[in-house]
Amino acid sequence: MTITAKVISKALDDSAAYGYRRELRLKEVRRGMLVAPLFFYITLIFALPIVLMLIRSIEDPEVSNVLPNTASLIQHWDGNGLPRDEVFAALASDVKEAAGNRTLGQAGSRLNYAIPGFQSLLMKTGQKISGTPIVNGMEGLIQIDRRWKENRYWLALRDASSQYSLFYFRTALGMSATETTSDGRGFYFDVLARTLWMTFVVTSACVILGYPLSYFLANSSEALRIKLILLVLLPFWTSLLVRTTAWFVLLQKHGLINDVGMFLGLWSEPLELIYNRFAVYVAMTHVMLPFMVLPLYSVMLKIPSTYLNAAATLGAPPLRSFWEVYLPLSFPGLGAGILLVFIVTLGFYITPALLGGPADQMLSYYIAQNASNFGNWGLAAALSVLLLVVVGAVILLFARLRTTTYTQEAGQ
Amino acid sequence: MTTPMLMLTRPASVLPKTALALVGGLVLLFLILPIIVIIPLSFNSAPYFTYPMPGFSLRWYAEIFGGSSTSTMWQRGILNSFIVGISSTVLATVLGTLAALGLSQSTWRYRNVVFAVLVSPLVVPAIVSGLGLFYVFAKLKLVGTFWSLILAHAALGAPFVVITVSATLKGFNQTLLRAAAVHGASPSRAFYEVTLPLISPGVISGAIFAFVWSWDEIVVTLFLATPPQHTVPIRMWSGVRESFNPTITAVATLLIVMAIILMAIVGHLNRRSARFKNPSP
Repeated sequence: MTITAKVISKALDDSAAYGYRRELRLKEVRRGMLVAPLFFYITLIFALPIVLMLIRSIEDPEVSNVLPNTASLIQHWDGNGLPRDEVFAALASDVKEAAGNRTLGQAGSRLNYAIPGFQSLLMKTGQKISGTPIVNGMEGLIQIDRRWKENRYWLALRDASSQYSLFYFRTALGMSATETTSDGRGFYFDVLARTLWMTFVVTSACVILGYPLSYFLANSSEALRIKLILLVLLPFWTSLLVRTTAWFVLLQKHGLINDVGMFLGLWSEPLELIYNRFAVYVAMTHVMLPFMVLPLYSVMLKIPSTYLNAAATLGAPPLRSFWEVYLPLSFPGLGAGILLVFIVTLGFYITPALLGGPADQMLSYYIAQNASNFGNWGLAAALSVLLLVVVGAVILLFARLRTTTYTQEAGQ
Repeated sequence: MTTPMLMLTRPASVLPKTALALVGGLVLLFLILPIIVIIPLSFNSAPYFTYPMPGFSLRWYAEIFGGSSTSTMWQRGILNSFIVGISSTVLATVLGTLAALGLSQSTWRYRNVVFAVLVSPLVVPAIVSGLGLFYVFAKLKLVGTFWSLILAHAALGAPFVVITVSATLKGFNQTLLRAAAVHGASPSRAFYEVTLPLISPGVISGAIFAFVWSWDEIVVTLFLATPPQHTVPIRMWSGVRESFNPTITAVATLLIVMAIILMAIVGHLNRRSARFKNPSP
């Protein structure tokens, strides 16, 4: 009897446990079904399009599509001197056919990214070849244009001859032969360096202005604090464009700041305050400051004053207790603020475009310019990858810093 | 005997107080003055951007709400902003609230990855989002339709809803749902009568964030919109770049007023949900 009872009771237990587990699993499935719509929405409507666009950065199909025979033959060329006669002949017939199909321009614009003027060379060759019945390889092409005797045009052609390449990344990182600045570095390398530097300056300015303000707010009386925090929240809620427009108005040659400065006798001629780096820094700092103050302030509010009293009781002078007690305790807020300001500032487009000059534009501006003005999607995509990599690296760096701080705290 | 007591109860200030108040005050002025200064200029009777103003006038507001061709343009922009803002907010709020509810109690191994995907639109630079969406939406023939803007803005706004609703759910007492079940409520009735009223402050705050984001959004919209869909920020953007006139300060003033109203609503909701979390004795 007892044995049967035990068996039955165990079976019941098992089935109860099974039922419970089943119920838990069902609950998880139900939760998954709640998350799924947004998850798939974001993946399909947001993430997938971005990934598809980014893939454009390694696609390089124009030359191998438009000039297929040349593309396959030239890959065997070692790059010294000029390619063999059959490559010239292949190019002549490819160009003739492409000129007939009106597809030559596609290859031309791609080759123009490598060597400015290549497009016109190709179009001119296409025009001349269409009229003549037979072009005999090397001599015929060189007769049409002497540039076909130059090694670099053939190198550029070989470089563009595969379906996928890192051409746009080389341009983006300043490793291509064209688009170099006077000191030999790539143009877009300078843009990236400028973007990082401007972001660094704005983040520093936000720390320098935001830390004392947050400290002041967190240590004021509650009645005052609630009123003053509204002065931080209102800019936070006001449209970015409204704030940029406000600076646009203030910084005009005959705007308020110049008028006040001259009225007070600080300067006698209107200063050039707009369309330069100064305007961009001031406005971007103004836009980003609430992002620094709000997390910093909320962390500072939670720092118990007893800790500082303890430091004072133990004989620490104010500066030392600030440095060794208060500052480390405010690090989580400071870190969150710096991370927020840094990653948002990296992607700035509107404010520099409205308030800066040509030398004050950031990476976003060149991404937009390449895509919408030049139709160079490959380069726009490569620059986008670069921007995303920098943003991702900053986020990972901060995540790593935070875990090491936690492990250190746990170890102590 | 009172001195040590005071030292223990008063927050110890370690930086010199007056200097701190001075710096704090100056930074606050830096934050607020540019926004305040633009408001009176929108009532200037002359098309200048400085003080003293020669007279008071509503002519720049008449430029927005009157019957001229520029007015039609601004009114169309306001209407478009409302169409896109409201539609995308509804979509973002429904999807975001459901996702936050599903995430709140889950114990999946890849929960953090899922969360990262859901909030990724906040981290990706706007120019990259705009380019990607344009690239694909152009192939789908969606560029130049309201659909492209609504779908894009909903994706950009949903993370705010996920974050605010998740925050509200952290303080949500799960035993309330069990109590509802014990008393015979069906899961859907428990949701409508227990869960929803308690998380509604978070839902509404998230919706307002998403709406404000949509009203502010400019970079993605620049890529996806053609003139018939141009929203208020796009009109302002081209106004500032092409023919800057005080009408833009009037629009800016209206947007500041809208920001103040929405900020007040969210502040009110935050106080309400804080009261739910720690009921005062």
